[in-house]
Amino acid sequence: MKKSIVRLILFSVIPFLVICYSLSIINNSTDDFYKRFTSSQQNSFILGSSRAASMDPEIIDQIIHQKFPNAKLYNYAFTWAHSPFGPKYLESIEKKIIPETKDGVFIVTVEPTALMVDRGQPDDLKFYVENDKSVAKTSMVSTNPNIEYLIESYDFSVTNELNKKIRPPKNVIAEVRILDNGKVDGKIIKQNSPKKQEQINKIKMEEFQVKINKLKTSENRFLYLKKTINFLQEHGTVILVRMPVNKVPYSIENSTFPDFDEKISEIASMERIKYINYNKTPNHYKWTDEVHLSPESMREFSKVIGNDVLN
Amino acid sequence: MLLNSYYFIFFFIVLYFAYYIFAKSSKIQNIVLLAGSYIFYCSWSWEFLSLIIFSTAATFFIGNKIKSNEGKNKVRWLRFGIFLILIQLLYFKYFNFFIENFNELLQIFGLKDQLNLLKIIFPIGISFYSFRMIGYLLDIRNNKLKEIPSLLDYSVFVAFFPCIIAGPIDKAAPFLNNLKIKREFSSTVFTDGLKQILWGLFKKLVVADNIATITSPLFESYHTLNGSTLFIGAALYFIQLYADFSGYTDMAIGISKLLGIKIQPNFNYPLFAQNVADYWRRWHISLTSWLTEYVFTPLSINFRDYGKFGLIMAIMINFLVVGFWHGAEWHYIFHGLVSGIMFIPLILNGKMNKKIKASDAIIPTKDEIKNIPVTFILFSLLMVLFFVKDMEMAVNYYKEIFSLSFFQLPNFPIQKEIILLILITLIIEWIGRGKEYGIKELFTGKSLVIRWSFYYVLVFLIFLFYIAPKGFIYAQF
Repeated sequence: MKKSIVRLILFSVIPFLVICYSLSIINNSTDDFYKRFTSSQQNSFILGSSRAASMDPEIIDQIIHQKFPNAKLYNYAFTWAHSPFGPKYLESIEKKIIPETKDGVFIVTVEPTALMVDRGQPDDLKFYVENDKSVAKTSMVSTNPNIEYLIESYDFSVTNELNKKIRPPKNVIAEVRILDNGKVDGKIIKQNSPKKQEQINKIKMEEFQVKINKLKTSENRFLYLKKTINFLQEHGTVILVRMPVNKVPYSIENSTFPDFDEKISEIASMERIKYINYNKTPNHYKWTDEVHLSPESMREFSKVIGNDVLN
Repeated sequence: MLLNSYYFIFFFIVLYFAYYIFAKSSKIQNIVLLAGSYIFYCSWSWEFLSLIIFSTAATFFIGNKIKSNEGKNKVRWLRFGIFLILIQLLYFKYFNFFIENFNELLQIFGLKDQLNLLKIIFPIGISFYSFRMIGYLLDIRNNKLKEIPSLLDYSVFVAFFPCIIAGPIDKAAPFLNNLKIKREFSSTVFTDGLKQILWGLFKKLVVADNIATITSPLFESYHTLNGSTLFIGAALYFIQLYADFSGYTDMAIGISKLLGIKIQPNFNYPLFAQNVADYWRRWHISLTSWLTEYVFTPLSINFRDYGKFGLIMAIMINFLVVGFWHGAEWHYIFHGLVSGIMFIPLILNGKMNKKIKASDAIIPTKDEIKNIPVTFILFSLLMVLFFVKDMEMAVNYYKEIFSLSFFQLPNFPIQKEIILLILITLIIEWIGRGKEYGIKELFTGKSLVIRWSFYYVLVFLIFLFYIAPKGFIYAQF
């Protein structure tokens, strides 16, 4: 037995070394969210779904610096499925914040789907969509390297970064990476023709309609939105924001959840914080897919939001 | 806990050392196996551990009763045991199917009242362990199991962790024989087991999961694709299902070998089958041989007075069970029915039981060149009924394949490197087809450098082509 085990260990040396090398380069260019869970604790956040994930903390920091000199925003917005308002997201935020923070800034973005649950299930925490996602599964959010994340949530081969060098991905439409401040930085490499993009958007909106039809309003999620706000208020200034989307998704959201704005405004006034629905303010933004702002528009929007935090 | 996960590796290392180093007798080894099997099952579905324990205890008790009784009482206990197993299977797997169809029937007759569907969670592995338990009771009744095992051994047989999720469905007697004596470590079996696990991992992670990157989007957008593309999709799915399921089986058999337990094979290179009967002798062998022994043979004896018609009836019922076993969906039932219908020409020609002599040569014979592609195409087309979501999709899918658009060029991108991987796998399997698994004796007798180099290539291809972890297709059954 000993001899066989020794032979197996000897055989494993080369693969093990390859794995070690791959792990050593994993932090430089990673998957979707690894960096979010390896960065240190932060004092200010941008929170919400993928619509807010590419909001630029750097631009906002520059604008708000005069009023909030200690605030250094970190983008901790994931996706609709990873980070809707609920116990898991709140728990993750609680772990990610520097506990002593008193003068932070928190941009909390809201959208109807982040406050809804599966229509076919009870509004019970155990049926929530985020339960099996990385935000819920990662209990250590500021550890580098984050072995827990790599084992539980890293969906690629451990040699993925090495693989990319050997076998670069083909037909890449966009390159996405996460910056040190948590911002999802997307670079569009191949642009679809306007006609094709229109077709794609049409299909996406049909899918969006189907998705939202399967959801219902969640009192529990609203409760957790309030809890999240209350928690953040202990650490600084909170602003509630509804991200701008194009007309079609906005009308889908409003027809499914007509009193959404009213409910959010109610929470904002109850908690005495500012709420801005940027769909009601005139703009010339462009979207990559009707709901996510294009990189140029996001830069522009980050300036707008920075100024609104300031005032 | 997937067999190809880090957790499983850790779990198995702990179990392995406890099994060989600390377990001083066969009884303790079996306790380790049972504890490991229940822990493994809990990692999938802890809610249903009590169900499996209760079913095991109940069928063990009934098995004893069958053994100790004679005549009518023996048969009564057998019927009661099978009823008990089937009732839980029917409830968990088929209850809503019957309700849905009953409701549709009510609608046809203009009745608006509808029965409510129940929210039933499906206990993982139930189809596999239920068949193990039924087989056990039938074997006692038929005197194929000479002595009743201990409750511990029987519990290991029902819940044995490498097989509980997706088989193979072992027969009681050969499996229980494994447990009688203390398993000693054997370096030859150890190496053989590791090689089989490696080959299983390769087939699953490199071949099946990468084909899935083509077939999944292809099936999603099937209504926009032409006939030739849809046919390619069906053929690729056939290979994917084989690589996925046989990959799992190779891992399960390899893991069992490491534990000194020999389990039943499930595949014998079905992609190289030469006709319908030959295919079913090579595909999911543990299920088909189970059904042959406990369903088809008794039926064909009962129907023997009706000649070929009786044989056809027995085959049709047998395949109806195959379809139904896969799931409570009409497309699975049709899959079973069509599989049965495909046998009819062989029955009528008297060729059903005629075994085809397969050559071991690397160059295929004329018959192989002629028969293998035809059988492959036939079963690729049959696969449509397996992977579709419902019968509507199946009808539309077939309509497009059998339209003029079949003669157009495919209108869906298919990565060349995946085709290359499939070809390499098929070549290896073709060369190794006389052996238990593809690479078993591929480089036997060659130097260590050559052998290890080949294994390294497989390991690095797994690293290189690994994509997000996917469950095994057959785990859903």
